[in-house]
Amino acid sequence: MELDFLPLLIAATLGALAGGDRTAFGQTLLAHPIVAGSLAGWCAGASGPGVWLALGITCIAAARVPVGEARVRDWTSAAIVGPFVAGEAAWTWGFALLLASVVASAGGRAIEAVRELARRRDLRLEAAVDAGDLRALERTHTGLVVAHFVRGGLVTLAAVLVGRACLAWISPRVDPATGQILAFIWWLTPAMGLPILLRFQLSVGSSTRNLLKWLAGGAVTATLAWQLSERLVAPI
Amino acid sequence: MTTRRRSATASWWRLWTIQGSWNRQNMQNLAWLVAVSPWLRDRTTGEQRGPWLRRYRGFFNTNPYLAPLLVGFVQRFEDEGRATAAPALVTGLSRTLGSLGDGLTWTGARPAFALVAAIGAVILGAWFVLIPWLIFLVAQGWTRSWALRVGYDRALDIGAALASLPIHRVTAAFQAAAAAAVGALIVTVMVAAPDRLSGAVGEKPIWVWLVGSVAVGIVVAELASRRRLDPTWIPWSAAVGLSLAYRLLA
Repeated sequence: MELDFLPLLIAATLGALAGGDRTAFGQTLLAHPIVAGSLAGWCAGASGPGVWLALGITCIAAARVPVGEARVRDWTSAAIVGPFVAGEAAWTWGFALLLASVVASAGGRAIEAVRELARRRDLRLEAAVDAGDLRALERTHTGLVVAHFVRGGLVTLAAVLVGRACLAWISPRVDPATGQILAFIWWLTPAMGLPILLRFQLSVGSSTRNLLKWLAGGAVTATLAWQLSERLVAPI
Repeated sequence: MTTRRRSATASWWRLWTIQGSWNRQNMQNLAWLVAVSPWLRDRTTGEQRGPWLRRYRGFFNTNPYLAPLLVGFVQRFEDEGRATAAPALVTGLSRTLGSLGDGLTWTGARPAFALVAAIGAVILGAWFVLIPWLIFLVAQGWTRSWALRVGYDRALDIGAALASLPIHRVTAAFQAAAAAAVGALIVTVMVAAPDRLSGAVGEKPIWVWLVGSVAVGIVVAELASRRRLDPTWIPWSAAVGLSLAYRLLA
């Protein structure tokens, strides 16, 4: 297993920024799997495969709206880790997708741990509230915001290291049939995930019939655009 | 820069971290108090701050993008000497804004922007995601600024102000845009997928694999929507399903 320092640093930095965006600062869409995953692929020098992986994760993550979740999932770190773990072989991207689901669970638990820390720190502020000590409130809040960024970076870094170690161990043991299946998981997950995305998006509005019209309009427009330009989908 | 403008600017920056100390007890309360504190420093003495903070201490949760409206509202209400009524109104308004804002952002604006990013990334490359991200970044920054201003300027008739906002229409427009984007994404994926699969699927035609995947996806979507299947198990379920399909088809 090669340990190149720069990709690890980039992965951890992107994980920290997107992880902070996911939970603590902004919610600016940087944490969305399609944005974070595509940027990770770009940074890792695997732009096309990174987009395809991020698309699969985006479809899977669409099964839940991140509001009032009972079990928190960290699809942001999950989308970033893949491109920094996978290699040139297609099957490694299937492995990255399986790894992503583990990272989503582990990252979710890490988010919950930071939130539990926030609860405890928050409860200890009663004396500061009574004393009108604004600095104590600001210090605690700032510390927790920083903790979310650090969590994002650490989860991503740890996942990349563990993922690479697992891949190095698995590589010599993968037979052609297993490799083919792993490649299929990566190739076919976006197609498999589209009904999840579709179901979610049609369930949110007050009128499903109206949304179906828009959906059909989008599909027809894209089909016409594809017919008009054979080069619409560049080989990525 | 006036004192009010300076404290409003400081609050605006702090409101970007409204979720930063979120927890399952008081939720956004700490972040909200921190966001109001620049104004509190300007308006109150050290002895007055304790009772003031105590009045607003407790459960607070609302939509993060519309939370600035409540900061502006409280500042104006307190400035007008209506401090007694403000905490109860803040609690009620936080729920209303939470409901309106969650529909607008989580089921409307964010999916619409993200799906456009996905289509663009598949067609043009990963760099494209920067465009929807930057537009969303600027738009939500502006929304926070606008909400802070409206919260202060319209605090005394906040009910009428909220009723006049076209939030439902904007939400419906974003949801329609997201639905159209899903339609376009379905076509884009179906066009792009064969490029990846060609030469790798054995003797069976590509469409068999694609149709099979979509069929599996329909079952998975049904199970996930009924909360029978955790989304994190979807790739592993796919691995098992594909292993079986591979033995039968390839």
